[in-house]
Amino acid sequence: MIEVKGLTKFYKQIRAIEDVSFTVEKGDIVGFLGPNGAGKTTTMKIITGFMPPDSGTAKVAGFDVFENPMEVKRRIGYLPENPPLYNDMTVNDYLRFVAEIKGIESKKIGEETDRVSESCGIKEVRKRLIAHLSKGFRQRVGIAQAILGNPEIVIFDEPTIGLDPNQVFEVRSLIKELAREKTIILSTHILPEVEMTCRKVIVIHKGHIVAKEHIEDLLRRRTKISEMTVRVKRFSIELMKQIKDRFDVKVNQPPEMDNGFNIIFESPEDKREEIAKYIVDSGFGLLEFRPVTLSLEDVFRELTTEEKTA
Amino acid sequence: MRNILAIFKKEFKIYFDTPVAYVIFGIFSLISGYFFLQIFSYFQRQSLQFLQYQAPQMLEHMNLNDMVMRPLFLNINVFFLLMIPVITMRLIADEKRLKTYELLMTTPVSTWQIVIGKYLASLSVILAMVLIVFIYPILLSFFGSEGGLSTGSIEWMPLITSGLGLFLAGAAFAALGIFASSLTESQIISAIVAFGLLLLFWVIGWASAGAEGVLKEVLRYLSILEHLDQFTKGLIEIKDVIYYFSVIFFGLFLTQQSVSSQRWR
Amino acid sequence: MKKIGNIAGIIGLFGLIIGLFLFLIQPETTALPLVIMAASLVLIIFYAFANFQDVKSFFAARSTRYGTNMLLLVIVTLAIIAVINYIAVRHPYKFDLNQDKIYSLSDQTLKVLKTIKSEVRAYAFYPPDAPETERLRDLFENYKYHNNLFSYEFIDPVKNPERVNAFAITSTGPRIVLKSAERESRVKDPTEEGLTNGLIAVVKADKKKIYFVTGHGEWDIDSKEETGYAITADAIRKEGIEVAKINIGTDRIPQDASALIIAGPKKLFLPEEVKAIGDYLQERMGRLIVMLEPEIKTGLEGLLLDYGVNPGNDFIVDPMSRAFGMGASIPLVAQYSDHEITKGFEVATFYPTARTVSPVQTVPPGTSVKTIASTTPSSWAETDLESIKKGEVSFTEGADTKGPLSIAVAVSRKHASASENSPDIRIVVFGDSEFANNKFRPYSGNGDMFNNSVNWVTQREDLISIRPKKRASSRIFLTQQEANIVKYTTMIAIPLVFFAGAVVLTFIRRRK
Repeated sequence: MIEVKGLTKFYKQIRAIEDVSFTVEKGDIVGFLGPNGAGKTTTMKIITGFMPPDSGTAKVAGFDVFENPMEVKRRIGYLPENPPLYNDMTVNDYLRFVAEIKGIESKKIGEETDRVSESCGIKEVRKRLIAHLSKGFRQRVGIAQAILGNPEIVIFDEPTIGLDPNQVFEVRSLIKELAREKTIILSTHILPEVEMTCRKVIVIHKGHIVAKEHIEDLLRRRTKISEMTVRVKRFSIELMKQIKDRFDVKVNQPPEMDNGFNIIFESPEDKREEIAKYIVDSGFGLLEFRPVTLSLEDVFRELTTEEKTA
Repeated sequence: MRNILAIFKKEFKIYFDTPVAYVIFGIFSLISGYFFLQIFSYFQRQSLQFLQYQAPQMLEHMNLNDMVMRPLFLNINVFFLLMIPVITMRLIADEKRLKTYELLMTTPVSTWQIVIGKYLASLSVILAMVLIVFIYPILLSFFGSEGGLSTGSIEWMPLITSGLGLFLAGAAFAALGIFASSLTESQIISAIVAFGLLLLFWVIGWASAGAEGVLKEVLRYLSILEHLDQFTKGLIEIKDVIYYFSVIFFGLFLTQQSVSSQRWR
Repeated sequence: MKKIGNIAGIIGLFGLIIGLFLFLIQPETTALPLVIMAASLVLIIFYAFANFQDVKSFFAARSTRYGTNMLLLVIVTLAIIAVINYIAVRHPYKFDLNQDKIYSLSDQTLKVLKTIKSEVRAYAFYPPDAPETERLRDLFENYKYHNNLFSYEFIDPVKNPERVNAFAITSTGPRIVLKSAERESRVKDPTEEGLTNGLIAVVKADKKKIYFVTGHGEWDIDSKEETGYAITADAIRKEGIEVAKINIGTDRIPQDASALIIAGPKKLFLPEEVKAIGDYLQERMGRLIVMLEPEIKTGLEGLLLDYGVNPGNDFIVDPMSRAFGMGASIPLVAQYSDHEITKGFEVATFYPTARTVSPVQTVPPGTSVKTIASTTPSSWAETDLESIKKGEVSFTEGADTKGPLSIAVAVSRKHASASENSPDIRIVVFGDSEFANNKFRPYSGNGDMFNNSVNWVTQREDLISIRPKKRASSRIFLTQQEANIVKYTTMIAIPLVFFAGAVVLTFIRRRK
């Protein structure tokens, strides 16, 4: 459905993305993951035809974005990083306007705006001025705008940024809802967001793609079995010492942790069972024993170093 | 066509559903009303003087068309130069600032449709301003018809040509204004650039005073304020119409190029 | 290196603009702007050199390709627009939507313009801020609009004294010169009537020719001496009128004579000669200028009386002239009538040794006799000619007439059967002949007085009269109350409606 090959874009001397290639199949829900400034927005702007690449091509449904922009634009619903809203319009006027410029038949406009208002939960604010809407509603109107006219492909750029946890939850479920029938690309810098909504993930870092994989693979990658966190009810330095000596592992206590420590295995041998048993038996009151979860930055570090060694 | 209409409707709504247009009309009617009152009271004082000094041949020269309405239109033309950048400044610059530009550029609307739709909306504001000017002669036409001293009436045809000319002049200014708006995302800068452009076209006219021969004629022709003159005399000259349409077309063409340059820049 | 390069680039760009600007506004091409532009170009090349990598990638980029395409497209569009505008300017077309078509030319003018088959150029000597300029430009544009062969040019007399001299334009004379390949004519009145009549004069096939009569001691048009008329004759030739001599005693008055001029005869005309002149006037709608001198009997007196002109047997004395550095025998004229010859005349003219010529009490039927120039009130007509020779003149109550005295008259007569537009007989009689000679011609308005007279008598065209068009007057006198209504409506009510609308809308929107 979407085929991106060797996209490169510079802003003046600064590289935004370099040699970005990936494909998205019909019906895929792809998370575009990367820290701020990684080049997510640039890639999306290029795919939607808003901005040209310096080199490389992007094809949507077989149409080149640069050569055939109109065909591409007809097929894509796009929610940019900042929802493209006119503060001076009411939600209703705004949706009608977008429906008109998207070329929806005038007879169907009413029906279509009703549908998207319904599915985005903005029915009760339809007569309000956009300027007076809360951030959450603004985002939803933005999404409503993107899915107007039922485009085959929907692209969301950071759809949950700046929302409160409740709103984030609502927006994510909305996207999940959509995911049943559309091809979706969703960019974010929040790992759980990808985990919760996407089936595939493309990780981009400093303008380069560092991983393209299924979400399960990423999850696996995130958990580092060679490093375990231990939390106990009655912590003492003694415990750390005993474990270090008895099992021939490294231990360390991160400063923020006052009732636990990390165990790092240096040999491939799996000693988890024995260690758990030992802690329980020695009566420190085991509360938690789990693999260390990496932060997104760590994953990136991991991915990028992997690339280099490979 | 539908797309143009959609863009036009949206811009029209933003002008007229918000206080913007009415504030502009308020300021405009205040200034043009002041112009009118000054010119008209001078005209009245002069007529009275001629009447007192028993100068019938001078009185015969006094007519509302040439001595009140014509200078009024010419003054408003200059005032338009200042006013129209304010009307056009937000057209494209504000889309860029609000990021709604991305919406327009990623929906299947051509750049021409965007530019023309927006431009037509600004013309509706200008048309309304031209119509405001017509309030003054209409107001006058209620008075003096039965009074023994007042004679004759306003000739409407030259007023209509003046109005047409003023509208065309405004439309030409707006075409340059929308171009300025496409260059930046700041409304203030857009207005300043538009004003600068218009001023340049005005200054060309002054430069013609110093020039000689063909250059003088060319500069005079290029000057954007020159071309209303004939309209205010009740004359429609094809070359003036062509001039205005040329400026309009070229302004819109540049705007379209500037907007679509987004696609490859 | 790069930083210096950038600075060089910026300076170069500015330099180029300034140089171009100077180049365009300078009246004469000088080296300075060219030097600036060349230096700027060097700086820009240096910039390109310093930023070679950037420049290279710039030219390789897709955006450059598209940018160049756009630039080309813009230039082509501009060129097309320029061509369309050029065509529109060269082929003007307009609609006059005024009630009385006040900005359109009369049918007579249009008819005349249709007869123009070769180029005619008008030179108008008016400064740009003269009151006549705007209306005159409109007229010229209108003429041009109807016939492309007509062109015009305004010349600012203050800025172009050399052209003023070349065209022999004076402050009192006509300021518009219409010129075709063969002929020129001068237009005094900057109106449609004036211009159209001027055009007729230029287009008319025959050239004007005036004959100076000889054989009675008249002043010689070939003589360059002070009393000669050579300079005067040249001045007339400059206006496109041929000048020749004729002895009417031996030769018949030629067919091509536009007018006869008798300039200061000293001897009697023979009766046959007088008859020839009379016939010429009567039968050929002749034109004549007679310039007399005091005391000299010419034999023309009877003829002049027939046309209502009475040459006085006197000598004009004016002590006032001394104030102007002239003798009392050179009367000064500062008062003119509203005749075509003297219209708008505001300068003095001087007439050395002059007699009065005045209209008779009862003018013959169909004749108009008009004094065109009168002496000052301090002058008088001395009848005691002997006293002059003695050099002891004084005003004698009863015998001498007190000024102002008529010193020049213009006569025109029409046949009873003639229609309004058919030519008339024209005669101008001066009580002096020296005022126009080589010596006195340059004095004040003397030259113009003579030239204007020649122009008037040689005007043979069926003169067209065109009523100047203007908009019907419309004026309003408001009562105090009405004035207040107008004032409050325009300054308060209308703006208030809009501002109130804005406020109401703001409140409505605040709730939405």
